[in-house]
Amino acid sequence: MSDYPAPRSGADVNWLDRLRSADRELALRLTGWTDFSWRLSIVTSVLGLLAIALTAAGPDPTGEELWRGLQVGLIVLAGTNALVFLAQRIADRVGPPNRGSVTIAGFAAIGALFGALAWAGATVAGLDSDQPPWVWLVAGAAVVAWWMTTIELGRYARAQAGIERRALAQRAHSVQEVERSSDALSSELMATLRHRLEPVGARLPETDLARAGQTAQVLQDEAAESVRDVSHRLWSLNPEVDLRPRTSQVLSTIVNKRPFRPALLAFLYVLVDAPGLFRNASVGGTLAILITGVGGIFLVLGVANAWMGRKPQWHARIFIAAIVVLQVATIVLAPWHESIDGRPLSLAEYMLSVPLSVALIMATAGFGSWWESSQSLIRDYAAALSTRESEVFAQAQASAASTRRIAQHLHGTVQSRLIAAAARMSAAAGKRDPAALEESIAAAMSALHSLDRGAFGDTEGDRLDGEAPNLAARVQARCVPWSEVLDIEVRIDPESAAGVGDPGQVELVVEELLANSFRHGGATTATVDIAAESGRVTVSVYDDGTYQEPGASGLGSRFIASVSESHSLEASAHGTRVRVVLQD
Amino acid sequence: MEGCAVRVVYVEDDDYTRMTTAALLRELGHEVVAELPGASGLMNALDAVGADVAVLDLDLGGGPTGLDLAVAVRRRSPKTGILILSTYADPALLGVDTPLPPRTLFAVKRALASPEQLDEAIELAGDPIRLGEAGLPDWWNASAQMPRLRASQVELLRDVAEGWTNAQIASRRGVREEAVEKSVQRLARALGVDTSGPRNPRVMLTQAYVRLSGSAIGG
Repeated sequence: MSDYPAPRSGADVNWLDRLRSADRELALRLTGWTDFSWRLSIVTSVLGLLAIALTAAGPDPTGEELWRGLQVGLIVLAGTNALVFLAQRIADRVGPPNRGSVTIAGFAAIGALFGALAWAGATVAGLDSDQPPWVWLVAGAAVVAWWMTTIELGRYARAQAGIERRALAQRAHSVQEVERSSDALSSELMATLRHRLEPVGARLPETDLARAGQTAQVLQDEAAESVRDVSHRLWSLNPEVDLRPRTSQVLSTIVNKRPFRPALLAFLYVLVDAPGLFRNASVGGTLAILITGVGGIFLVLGVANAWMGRKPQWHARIFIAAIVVLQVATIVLAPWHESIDGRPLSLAEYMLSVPLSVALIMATAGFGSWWESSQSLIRDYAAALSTRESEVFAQAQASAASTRRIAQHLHGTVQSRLIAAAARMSAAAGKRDPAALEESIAAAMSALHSLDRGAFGDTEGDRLDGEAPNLAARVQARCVPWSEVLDIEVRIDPESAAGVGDPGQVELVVEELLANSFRHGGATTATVDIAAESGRVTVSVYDDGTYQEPGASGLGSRFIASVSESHSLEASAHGTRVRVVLQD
Repeated sequence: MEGCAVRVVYVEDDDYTRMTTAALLRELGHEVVAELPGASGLMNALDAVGADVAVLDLDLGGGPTGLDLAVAVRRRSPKTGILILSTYADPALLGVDTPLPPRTLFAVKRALASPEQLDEAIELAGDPIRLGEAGLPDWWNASAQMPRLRASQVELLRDVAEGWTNAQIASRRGVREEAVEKSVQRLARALGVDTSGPRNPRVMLTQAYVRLSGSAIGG
């Protein structure tokens, strides 16, 4: 039931979600109680204490009544703190209060209990309260619900910001890792190719070499710049991220960013405008003030936004002026409000409510602004990181393209491995999957290393354009494409290589026999054996297929007949063996 | 599946065609997970990145043909859709008589007259249910209908198109020249070539071969 960001399941879980999931609990614990939440709770505690004290003390309190009211307030606050502690444990399990009215209703219920405690406390203390119990309950519910909601919103915002910040930091780390890998690959491409090209005198297109070098250089430069930029934005001043709002941000948030938020706050302010409304105003009077206050604020906000939309600092001033005007209007109108006990509200009571209310509004606006500024910074950072990611993965795509093009100048299994690695690299870059990208880069580097190990890499078919292949290399190279459809083993007797007059002819015979094995025998494996027998070169292919007479015209057979001295075919349940003795 | 991104592995030996077609596939919203100039690396690429559809050129130069690769892909991955694109109206013209493996579509390149048709071909190849329900669209076989020829006739057509005389063909096949002459006559009839008219029937047979294969005559 939690509304905190939850990881998705199954195939949808990507690396970012995994990071978020792993980080979530830790972030919640670390950031659950923050300085900001404490400040808010202190403000609301003071307000609540004053409300209780004044309510308990009754109308026109004497100094002793006020002192006893304060004592009641302190006792009730202490008792309520225990309830709040419990409520927070519940809230941790249920979810953030801004996402569910059930939770806020729960806070209100606790608040009602709080009000009941206050009423009971006042009664036990012998205070002459003129309020019926339901007023105590409503007042308590409103104050605590407001109090808890504010605190929980602060906790939630902080936790969420922490989670996002950590996830973004991990993304930044991944990007840097990918940068390093791409850089290494580019260097590897350059070094390997140059090393391989020099001895054989072959040349690759300049564009590939240039791109490899360019990629390395660009990645190095941009990585350094990116890290500096990111650090400056988030970590250079404060490792815990300085998200404190500036005054101008607070004020502009109040007026511009969420025009309905201050209206809601005004509503709440009027609702908890302690102690005047709950103590003395009638229901009609309360409604009149609500309508006047909310309507007036809407009017002022609308005019301010329309008139001075580009100067938020002036908006804020106008807004605060409007608050003052409304307060003055409330005070001026006070004598005409009916009070429950028939007594007009005193000027002192209203005067007390003004700074308290403004403080409450400003504290809430401060929270809103903090939320806005933190979200704004996170959004900015995420956008910058996404841009950087796009650049890095575009570079990775370029590396994949270079790898693919370079592979086209190679032959043999290294070519096959490089092409596969380039395909994986391209797919991983498309999906922005740094882990898969690093794996594919490692595979490409491994293939390049194997090319660099010996004269012909892993197999004798591996070579670069421009290298003169011997018989073994030519036969191997001819077998490579067929190894996609057949599992091929090649065995070449060194003596036979010396006796071959035309290596091209041997290649063609091998290819023809492999094609027959696959197409007409349905084979999945084949062994090519080239040997010298009695001064003649023989080419034999053993496969696991079931021999069938070729349905075509037998061009291949005619070709083999034309170049062979003799050829034979032996078919059995285990496979087929074709043996061709080449002419001199 | 219509409108969905299809993950494509694309094998085409002609660099220009591969580059432009891959770009078009991406433009159509598909994900080209691998572009290969030949058979090498296909299975590795399929294993590494997976694909909904393998798009294979039929004539890949040396080594296995696109049809050979289709057979191997089908053995290895029963679910991967396969689309063979070819200039040849029929694989037989390339000397390949292997039947198409199951769930393999064969399309002649010149039948694809618009990007939308390529898109439709890719999506049909990847969606057997839709293919089973709707069948191939009308445009699919609108051009380059291949007359039914025996494998030996295809071979003879290619020999004629490559410029071999009846005597040379007879010598290579170990038959009499008159037999080759009769075979050429039967081939001309099968292809609807008028041998009694003023035009040289061998030139017309060569034109028929070029039309059906969609390519220059090989050496």
